[in-house]
Amino acid sequence: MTITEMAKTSSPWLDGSGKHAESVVSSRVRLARNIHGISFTHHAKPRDLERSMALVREALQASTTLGRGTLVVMDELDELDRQFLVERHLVSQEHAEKSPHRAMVVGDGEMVSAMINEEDHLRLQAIQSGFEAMDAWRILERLDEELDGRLDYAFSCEWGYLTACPTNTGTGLRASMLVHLPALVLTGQISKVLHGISQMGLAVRGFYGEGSDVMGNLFQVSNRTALGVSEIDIIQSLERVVRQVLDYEAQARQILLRDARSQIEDKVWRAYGILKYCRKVTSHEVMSLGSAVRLGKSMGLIERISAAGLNNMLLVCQPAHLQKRFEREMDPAERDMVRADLVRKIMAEEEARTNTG
Amino acid sequence: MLCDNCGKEIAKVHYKEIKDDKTIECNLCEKCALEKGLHVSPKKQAFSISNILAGMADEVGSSTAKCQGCGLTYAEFRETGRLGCSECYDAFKEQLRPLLRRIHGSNVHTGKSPHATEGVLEKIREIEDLKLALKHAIEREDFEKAAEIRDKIKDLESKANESPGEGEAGK
Repeated sequence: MTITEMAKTSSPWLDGSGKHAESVVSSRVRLARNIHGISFTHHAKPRDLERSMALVREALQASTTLGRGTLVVMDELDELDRQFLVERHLVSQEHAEKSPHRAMVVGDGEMVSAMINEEDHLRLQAIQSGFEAMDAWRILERLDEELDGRLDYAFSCEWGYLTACPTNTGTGLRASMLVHLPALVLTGQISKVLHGISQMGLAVRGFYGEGSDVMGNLFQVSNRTALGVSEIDIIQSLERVVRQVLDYEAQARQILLRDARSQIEDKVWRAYGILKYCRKVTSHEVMSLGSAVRLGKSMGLIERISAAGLNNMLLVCQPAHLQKRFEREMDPAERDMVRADLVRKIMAEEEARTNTG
Repeated sequence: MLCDNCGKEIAKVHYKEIKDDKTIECNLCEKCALEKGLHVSPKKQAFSISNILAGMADEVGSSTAKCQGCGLTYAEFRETGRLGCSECYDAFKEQLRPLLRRIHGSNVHTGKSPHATEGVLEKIREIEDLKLALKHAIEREDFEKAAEIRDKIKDLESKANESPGEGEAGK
């Protein structure tokens, strides 16, 4: 699948399936691995990187999970395509910055992917829709097992998998869930909850991961430690904490419905109206309006839109996605108009579908 | 997100401007921000994990330690928060042990391991358990038991040394 083809479709892992899909957009698991005897990426000489690239590529091609995947060499892409992959959550911002000997492999359905020569020689990733971190881990574990026999991983019996950054040493595992918490934000309890999450040893980040802002009330909750805990323990403690946070969110929604029903209904329907009739809209606005509508949907105030529809809207409204879709570069003002057209179209399609369905 | 101004580079400077009662949100790349007279000192301002890490990696032992594998010095690691190769873990073992404990709350791996090291890991864990038992036996002054455990440890250690898994880093 080429990037242009990808741009015409939504990511399958945003299809709104899985447990708690109205509040948990996605679950993601990644593994960091390096090859024994080759310097870590940032410290490696070009010929080292050529070697790690060749070894990893060969191992991935021989795997059943990613063997038929699409390989993309980062420095063969233009800026727009690289940004597109960042928006798609297939590569990190650092990986997209133009440097040689970097690549990405993505499997059918975009559920499993790999970055070659990112901070570590190999970063494996699995994404699932909804509260499904354990499923994502099972998929990744299988791929890791397959690669184990083919790659000589850098490993120490005392410290586990050795990574460029000591925060990943051990399992090399980072598991995260993207959670929608509008009621906790509206009731002013979010900072208390975020504090609680960090006390439980987990980290909270914004939409695009490390160092990014919180947009559309979407929070990425992930484990912070990777050493001294087993992979299953990491996933289970993430699940436990997210389940707890979802409970708090549900309580906050009950309070909103009881004490401020008319304000919430007004907020939700105004957001709906803007999305349905706007003629100019920024991607930030789509995020926050989408958040209000998502809240209305999961509180049963709105029926006319699906979780998949809202997820898709967030994805395709991002700048690089818009420009890839229409196959031309656009300035922000033009993008805002084109985006509004697209949002109205999605809203109409969603209405038509939910009416007949 | 791409820069509002040039639409080519990645927007890294985000701010709001109030003009004629209207709030305008701006997202610019570093170059365009600089052209608009907004001063951003690159890199240094970014609050990243490597900064925190560099701060955490304090001077335990000598900071002139150097990795024979890739030539990275401990001082360089402290600056970037990134190790140079898997051998660095051996070279800076003394400094990394407390650092890893501070980051993870533990410095012993308990997760999965590559197939090639299976067995070796079990042996190491068994030896650790026996060493603890030895200590307890000595404390109890049960020297007969202690001698028995000591022999068992010796036996296991010699076996661990001749088993495969050579070439794995940081044993």
